[in-house]
Amino acid sequence: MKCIHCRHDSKYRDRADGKCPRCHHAFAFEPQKGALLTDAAFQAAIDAVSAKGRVRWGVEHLYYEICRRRRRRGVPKLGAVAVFLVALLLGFQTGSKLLGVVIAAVATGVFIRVMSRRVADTVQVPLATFDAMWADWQRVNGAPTGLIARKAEAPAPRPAEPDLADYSFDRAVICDRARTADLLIANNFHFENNCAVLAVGGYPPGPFETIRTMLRRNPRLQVLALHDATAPGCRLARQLATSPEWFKDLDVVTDVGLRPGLAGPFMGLLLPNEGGAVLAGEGITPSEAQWLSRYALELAAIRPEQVLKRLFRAINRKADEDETDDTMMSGDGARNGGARVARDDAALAADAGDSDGGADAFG
Amino acid sequence: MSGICGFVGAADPALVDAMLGAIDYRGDRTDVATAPGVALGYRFWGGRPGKSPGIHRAAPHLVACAGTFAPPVPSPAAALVDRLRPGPDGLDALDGAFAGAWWDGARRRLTLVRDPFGVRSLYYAEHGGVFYFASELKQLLAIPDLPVRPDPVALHKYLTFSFVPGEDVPVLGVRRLLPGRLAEWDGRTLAVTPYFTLREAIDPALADRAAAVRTIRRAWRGAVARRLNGEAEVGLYLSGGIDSSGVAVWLRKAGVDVRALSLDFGAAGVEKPQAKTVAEHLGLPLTFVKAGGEDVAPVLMDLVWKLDLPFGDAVTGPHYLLGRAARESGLSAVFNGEGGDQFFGGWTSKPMIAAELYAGLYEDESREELYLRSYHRFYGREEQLYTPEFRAQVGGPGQRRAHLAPYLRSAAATTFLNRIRLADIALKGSQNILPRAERVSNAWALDARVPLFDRALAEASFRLPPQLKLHGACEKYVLKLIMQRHLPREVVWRRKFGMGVPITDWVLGPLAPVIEELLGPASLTQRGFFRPEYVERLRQGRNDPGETRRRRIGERLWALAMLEAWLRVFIDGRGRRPEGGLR
Repeated sequence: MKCIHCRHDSKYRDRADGKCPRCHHAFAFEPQKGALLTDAAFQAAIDAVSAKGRVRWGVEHLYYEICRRRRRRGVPKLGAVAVFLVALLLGFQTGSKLLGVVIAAVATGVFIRVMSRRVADTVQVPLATFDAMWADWQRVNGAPTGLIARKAEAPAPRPAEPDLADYSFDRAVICDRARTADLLIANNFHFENNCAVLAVGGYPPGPFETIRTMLRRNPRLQVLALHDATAPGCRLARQLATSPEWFKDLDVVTDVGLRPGLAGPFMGLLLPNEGGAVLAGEGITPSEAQWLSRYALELAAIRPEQVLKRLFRAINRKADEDETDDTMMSGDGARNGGARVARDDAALAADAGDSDGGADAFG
Repeated sequence: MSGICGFVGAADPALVDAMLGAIDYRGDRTDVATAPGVALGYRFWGGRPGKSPGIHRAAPHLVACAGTFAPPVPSPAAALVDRLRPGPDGLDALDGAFAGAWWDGARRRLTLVRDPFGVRSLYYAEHGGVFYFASELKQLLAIPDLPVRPDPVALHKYLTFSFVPGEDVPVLGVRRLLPGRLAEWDGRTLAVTPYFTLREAIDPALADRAAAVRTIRRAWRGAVARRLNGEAEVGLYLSGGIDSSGVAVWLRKAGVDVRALSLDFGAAGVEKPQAKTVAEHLGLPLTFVKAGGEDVAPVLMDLVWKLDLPFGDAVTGPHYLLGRAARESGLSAVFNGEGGDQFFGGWTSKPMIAAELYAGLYEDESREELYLRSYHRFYGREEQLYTPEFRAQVGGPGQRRAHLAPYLRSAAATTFLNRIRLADIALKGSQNILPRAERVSNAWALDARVPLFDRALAEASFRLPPQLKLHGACEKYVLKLIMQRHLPREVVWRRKFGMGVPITDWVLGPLAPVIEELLGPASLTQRGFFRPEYVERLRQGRNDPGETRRRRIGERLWALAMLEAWLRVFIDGRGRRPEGGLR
């Protein structure tokens, strides 16, 4: 097993004390004692979610990265034994014991191979197992670079800047959960895109109401709803479009979040729905309700770098659609008793590459 | 156009000829005046109105002044001494685009002065007991025994800002005078004093929109009129945005003939239809100038030489092509709309406002650090880009932030927006936009007129409540209110688009051979500043992880390429005109 510190590859007998025999760096995990992953594999997962330390990330992203690497179902041992015995009995019918054993061995091998390639629909790593690994890792290696950690105390107020609240944003991404807002803010999405980022439940608490008030100053605000594939998540855009506290007076709210129809590439990363049956309506179709009654899919299942790039692509696709900002002339935008909800299912559906820069409307 | 130079001390007066020879594209005539231990030189184009017709000689005074005053005077050199006195007829109203040198033989003092915002430059160096000054760096490098070594600290700043800020010059021992400053050399020391400092003085009466519109309209129109020197026809770089379109309106109202020029980036262009709409609306003849990577490649080394300092914004190439077209059409002066963002709250305020609102959630990042990040070059990427040897030479932390603190924490402003505006004006405006515009224009013997950088207009803009600059999310609101009476609605209220130089397409396409020549492994290894593997990744079109904008690839590669080209011309070649070009 390789040491992540000095890359030395050691035998089990040489690291009986749990340390690398060359550099004496402690190992967090020991697969010989049943650990799910090696230290090197865990480090590789951290590198993947952090884009080698260049992107800020949350521990939930690491959980899904581990799940991504362990998303095949296990081989049912009883099934393998049963296949072996049945094949052995059938093989003995040929009259040759040797041939019977060979047939049984081949059949069992095929069974194991087929079964081991099956990808589960839901996550295969129990959260408690991951939490224990995460605690072991941090005990040995400390917190990794780029891990998003909120300050324990409320941020110290900066010098008062009373004019800040007089301005607005070009766009807003409203999330269904605070951790998604954390991902965007910690990666400076708000700064790079003049984009307010809020979680619908009131996060971040300090500037939340100030920012929400500022958003009302832009009648042509571009609003995107970003959410998990859960019942509350899939209703978020509609909630934003109809609530007087949010964007009832705007033209449109665009749903760029995860929905059941986008779950295909995420097999092995779904969660079982524990919230009971979901009813169709309020932005959820009958087939979506059926899926949501069984499963949930969190945005954290997508690597942070991809979330940022895909969301950037989505906001620029929207910006292309309307170039004129003439509502300042008349004062108010269209008022129709509620904003329309538009769906942008392509936003999160496909990977964004290095060359995927969108229209890039900023100087 | 035009330039000055000179020295105080025991040097050969023939040096002034060499210094004037280094800027032969700045005029067809020269004038040299000497006194014991002093020499002044001036290069200029004959027959251009509003320019000094030579060095002003009025014993015991010698005065050389390049550029023009606003409003114009027949000879800035002859008027300069009177204008350097305090008072409403002197320093309190001194404006224009000029750089002057006044030798007072009675007091044996040399006084240098730059215009309020820094259209014209002045560099200086003390070497061998002699104090030298010049309009361009390359003139100082023409001094044969002056050591020419790069200043890693200044280069480090360039790699953050894409230009060199402050008094720094990327040649060790050379400094520059900041805009709006007077400097007096007494034979031993240089005493620098500001004569113009922009301050916020919000006028509650201007909270009334009609009053604000009247005030800014009058100042803006006056700023344009003050920069007309009597030419029958002038050029205008018309982007189709509110700033240059507004300048077009005021030029037409001043009764001068205007020839508009606009860039054509082909399929990548976003502003071409707007420029056409404005030109048709105002009845201006409009020429589109094709600007592609293949057009920039052959002129790159001449551009670098004429720019004098390294400038890493890709807009310089297209502006060079615009200047060439303007010159070929017979123009001698061109107006532009630069400055609207800086004075009236363009999009550059928005990222800082957003950052300020969300500050302190995770770890402390100062306002200065965020501002540096907003330049999107190599701030925070030093470990990936710099070789350990170069890293060790760039000095300790805080040098770049020190340029910002006077503005971002300025007591001269009470509002956040105006603090950002002050930083933008002093850095992006005075040390990037203006000097590069002046030099690219001079490359083609054109006089650059930048009316939004006008003292009275600037002061009026800082009397406005900031909500009339950034109104909600609507940028440059007061300018739009003014222009909605003069321009089509779709021009005035169109959302902002960037300049739109498709630089990533260029550096990965038609400019790729040039980029390889300048930034290939052999070149980088020889220079020793940058890690080839990082640059190679960019050259392959691969963005930094977490970077969402494709344009950053081109912006970063271009900034590096311009720096390497600058090092070749100004360090390796001592600022001499580059022979030939790149591939």
